[in-house]
Amino acid sequence: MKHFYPILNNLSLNFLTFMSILFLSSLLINFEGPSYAHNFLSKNTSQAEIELIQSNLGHQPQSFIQCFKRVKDLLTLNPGYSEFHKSPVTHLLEKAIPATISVTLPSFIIGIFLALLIAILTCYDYRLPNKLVDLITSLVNSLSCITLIVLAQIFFCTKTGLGFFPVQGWNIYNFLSYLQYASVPIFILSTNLGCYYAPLFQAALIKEKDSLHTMTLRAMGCSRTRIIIVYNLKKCLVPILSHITRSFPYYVLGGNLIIENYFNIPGLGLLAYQSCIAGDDKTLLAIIGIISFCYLSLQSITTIAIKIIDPRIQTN
Amino acid sequence: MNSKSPNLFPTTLIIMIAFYLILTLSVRFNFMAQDWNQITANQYASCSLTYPLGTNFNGQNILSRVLQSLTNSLDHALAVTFFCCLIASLLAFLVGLRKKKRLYQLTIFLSNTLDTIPIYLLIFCYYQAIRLDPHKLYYIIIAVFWTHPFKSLVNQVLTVASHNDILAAKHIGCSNFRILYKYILPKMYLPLLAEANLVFISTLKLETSLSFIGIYNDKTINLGKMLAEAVGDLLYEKYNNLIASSFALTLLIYSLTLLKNIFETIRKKKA
Repeated sequence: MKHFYPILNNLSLNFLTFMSILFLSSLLINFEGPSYAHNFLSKNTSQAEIELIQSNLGHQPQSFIQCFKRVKDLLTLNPGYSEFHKSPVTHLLEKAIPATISVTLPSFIIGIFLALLIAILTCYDYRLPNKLVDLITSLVNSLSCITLIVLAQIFFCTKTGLGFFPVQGWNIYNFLSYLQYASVPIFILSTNLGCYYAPLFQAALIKEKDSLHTMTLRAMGCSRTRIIIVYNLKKCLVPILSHITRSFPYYVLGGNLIIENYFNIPGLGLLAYQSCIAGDDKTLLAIIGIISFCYLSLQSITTIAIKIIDPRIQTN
Repeated sequence: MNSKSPNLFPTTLIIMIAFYLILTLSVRFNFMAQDWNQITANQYASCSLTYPLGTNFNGQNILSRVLQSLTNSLDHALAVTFFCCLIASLLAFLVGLRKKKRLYQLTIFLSNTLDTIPIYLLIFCYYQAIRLDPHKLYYIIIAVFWTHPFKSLVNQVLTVASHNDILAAKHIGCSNFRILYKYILPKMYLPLLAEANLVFISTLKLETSLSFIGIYNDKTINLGKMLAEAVGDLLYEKYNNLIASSFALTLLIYSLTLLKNIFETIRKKKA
């Protein structure tokens, strides 16, 4: 029972956070956010004109009751109908989520493996490769995602470079076409993620490498590879797991806004951007709801998983 | 982690700050880059003494545009960082020194809520306000980014506030302000600088990304907008714009990362 209460406490706190996220987003969207009515307005429109257009379109005036209604609709899994896309929001999400996951999930897995590989390699104390790895990771981290995207596109997709892949688009009908269209976005995302996480994982592993129990294992004649992979990595599981679960929903479900926009991938990032520009507030709120729900659920699962991995950690 | 020698600290810091200060001041006082929005030459003019980096599609000087963009980005990031750190440190000192559990829980809850929503989605929620007044973009960035320095600083303040010297000062009747000024602030400036650096980098990256996709102040220029222009130039196989803007952005972020590493090294050494 003593383990049950902290978990319940954590779950209830996460539920409260979820509710406040929905209400905050709904409030912002309602009073300051994009609205379909704004597509029919010029820059210096008066409040009376806005209200007239909203009433012509059948929109309710901005109010707190409207915010509550939106949150209630979302909680009852009825996000409504998108006027811009002329389709129910649930159908839009059903189409966007697979496209996003098919790019971001492989890149997330590859990125994490790349980061772990870099971190493990640097634990071997070879001076030159370590310096090289340090230089590459800091350079890639300093490169903005946009620069990386443009450079990768020039190198892989244009005639100036290799020209192996299409410049942009998403026309998937079999695995080969998937590889054709998704390879470059996956490469960019995984490189970015790998180089971002490598220093974090490296720091956790190096801390373990200098610990007493590692020295004891080394004195007992254990090989370095065995020590790093079997003992040190297991010890670092808690920070690594918390890093991974923290970014998982953002990367996998949130998609990458820039990547999806640039490569024209019809995922959640592109849908969110189009909804923002076109004033499709219902879709935007639904996307926020999904991502926040996944983030908070994963956080709860991680808390329980960490408790199982290391029972000494206080869950509350 | 990159571990740079702390001996590098004064030299690197002075060179970097001097470089960016001279650059910003020169642009702000109109010594350089005044012609960033003027059409002064032919389309895609090649590099020359007058146009060291050539011109863009509209015949505008790329070097002037890069310098103006860098200055604008630095100005915005500096303002956002200042206000974020101010809010974070005030709240952290208030929560850490007063030790009010409810206030602590409330601020942590608020920061967790703000952290859970991806920042770009929150900005989209506020899109209409930004469209009418582009400066409102920075209000929302400040409203979200104070959480990161706050979480770090509040832990630091709580740790420092439980030290023996501070407990002793409290017992002999020192006021909270005196404790803050005399004992806590000297121990907080390095963590604060490190956090400020992180906020600075995040703001730069976020502003660039948002400008790249088209959410920007259309009266000024920044690096994201330049990169978006550079993508258009690729169709004509012209790379000057891309190289100049990418290099400027990378150099700026790299130097800030270097600075962050120096702060961390000193912090670890002191700890």
